[in-house]
Amino acid sequence: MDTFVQLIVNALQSGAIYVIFSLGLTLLFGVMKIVNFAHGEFYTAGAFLTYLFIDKWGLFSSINIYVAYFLAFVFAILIVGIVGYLVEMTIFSRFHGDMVSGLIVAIGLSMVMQTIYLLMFTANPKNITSIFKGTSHLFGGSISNERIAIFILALLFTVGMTLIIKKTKFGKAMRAISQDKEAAELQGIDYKSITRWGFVVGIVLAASAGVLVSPASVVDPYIGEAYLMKAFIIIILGGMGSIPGCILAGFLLGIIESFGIFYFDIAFATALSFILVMLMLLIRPQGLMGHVSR
Amino acid sequence: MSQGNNIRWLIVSVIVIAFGFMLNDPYLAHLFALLCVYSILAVSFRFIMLCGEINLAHASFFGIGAYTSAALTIHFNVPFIVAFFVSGIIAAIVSILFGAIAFRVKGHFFLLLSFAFAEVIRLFFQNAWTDVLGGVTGIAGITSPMGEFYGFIAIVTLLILYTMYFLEKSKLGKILIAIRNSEDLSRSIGISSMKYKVLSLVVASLLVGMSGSMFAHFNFVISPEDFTFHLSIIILSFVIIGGRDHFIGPVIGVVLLVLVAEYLRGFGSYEILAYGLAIILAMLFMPKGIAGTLQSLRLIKLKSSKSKSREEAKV
Repeated sequence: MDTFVQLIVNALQSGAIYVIFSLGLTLLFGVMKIVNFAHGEFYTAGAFLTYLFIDKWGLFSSINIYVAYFLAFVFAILIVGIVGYLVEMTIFSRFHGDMVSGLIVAIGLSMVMQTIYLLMFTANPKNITSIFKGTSHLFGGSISNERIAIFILALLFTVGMTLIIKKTKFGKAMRAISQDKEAAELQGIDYKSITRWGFVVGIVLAASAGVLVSPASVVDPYIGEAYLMKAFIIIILGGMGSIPGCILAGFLLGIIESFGIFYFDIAFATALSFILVMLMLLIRPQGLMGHVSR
Repeated sequence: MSQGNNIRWLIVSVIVIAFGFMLNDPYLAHLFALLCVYSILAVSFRFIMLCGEINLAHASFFGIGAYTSAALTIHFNVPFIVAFFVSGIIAAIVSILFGAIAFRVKGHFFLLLSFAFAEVIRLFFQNAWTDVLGGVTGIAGITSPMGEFYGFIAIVTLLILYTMYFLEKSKLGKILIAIRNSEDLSRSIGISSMKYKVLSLVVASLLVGMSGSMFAHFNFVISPEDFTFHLSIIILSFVIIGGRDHFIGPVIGVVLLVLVAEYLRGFGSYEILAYGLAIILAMLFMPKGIAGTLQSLRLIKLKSSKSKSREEAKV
């Protein structure tokens, strides 16, 4: 029983991170119809900026560690947001709705960003000072406080994001565009500016996942890529462009991985999730919660 | 192809074959063989793109060919020439299974499905049947099967490229382009898009499997990491930068980028940086690739010469 609880707890906390990461990706797909291969690199950007602020430069070392971490978070997100805005303006804005070109240019961007990280930080994994120390016992499973904090923050993010998308004018405009671009434009929605800000929100979500996870794991130039693969699985399982589907599939992947790794091994868990993806695409290409779109 | 063009390509082919037989320096010969194999990969990648799909599992079929050939010659003492054809056939059989399932979806979904398939194949190479396939380290100690092997590679490459060229100009190529332009319309006039898409995948995978066999035997070492979706992406960049609308575009892309990468190799990771920047810049400023840009330049020349003659006529 204890193992079972432990596995569920592990699944929930990795699932929560998968959810915020893939929420950004599914948002970008919905709004821009682009599969952003460079999404993982923005995650890495968040993690590396945290490393720079907290450990390398020690910018906020004189302040309380929680405040320092919060400041690092805010600055990291600001920087990634500005970079994202510029990237969308100069590169992606020309390829909206064009699957092949958008994909290729995103791949190019991912290669460039990965190499820049490699040149700046080398391939050696970096550790970031952890913020919440110690472990807690929950329902017979043990989990580090760090991971509990990550789980709660990730959950808050997901709820906040869902509210923004469901309730605000900006969120409604994004949903309108992802459902039918022409009809949305006829209603006077500014397609260009909404997609640009949608892109910024999407990659800021990726970067926030990076900032959140970084104290609990190591940072190297290739961490984003592993997340990207998982996010692909999630957005297919959940349905491309669907937010509830993304949340459901994120936790589902967490459970598959956690149990698969424990009872078999990591290769089996990965293969299982990919085979699940292939089955899903065949039986229900629109995913668990996706709707058929043109 | 006009008569003059025929002769021009014949001369190019003879020069390429002569290169294959005359290169003695091991480094240059290896580079030459790499160019040949990448050309096959890029041209066949574009062949599948004719019907509008991007197949990120392309490198996996290349890997299936390489692994089949290496395992057969090392563990089962099969002569190379048999293993060479068997590699192509096995890659083709796997591609039928994959295609029959995967082409039920298209566009983004096919792309991501092929990506998932590429990962499954990589995991298979790493974990299945490790005493033959060698697990994570792969297979080492593959030998060169014959004297003048590079000459063989040159001849096979040219044969494959010519086959692809004539396939593209044949009815099959036209049907594939029709499917890309409008799948619904082509289905309405009785073209089975599923059948032709699978056919294009099988042809491409057969040829790529055979080139994988050649790769294994001139590289001497293969490992699962050689055949991930990263290779498919690099091939995609060859196609895009070279020019996806022209048969010769991918070959131009391969020759140019491989030589640049070879030059940059001394600078370490700048190689990937150069590929990435080249992709972004090509997409922004040369969306038709090098071949397309060259052609439009020639068109401008044609136009200007026409307008000149018109002006002369006016005078």
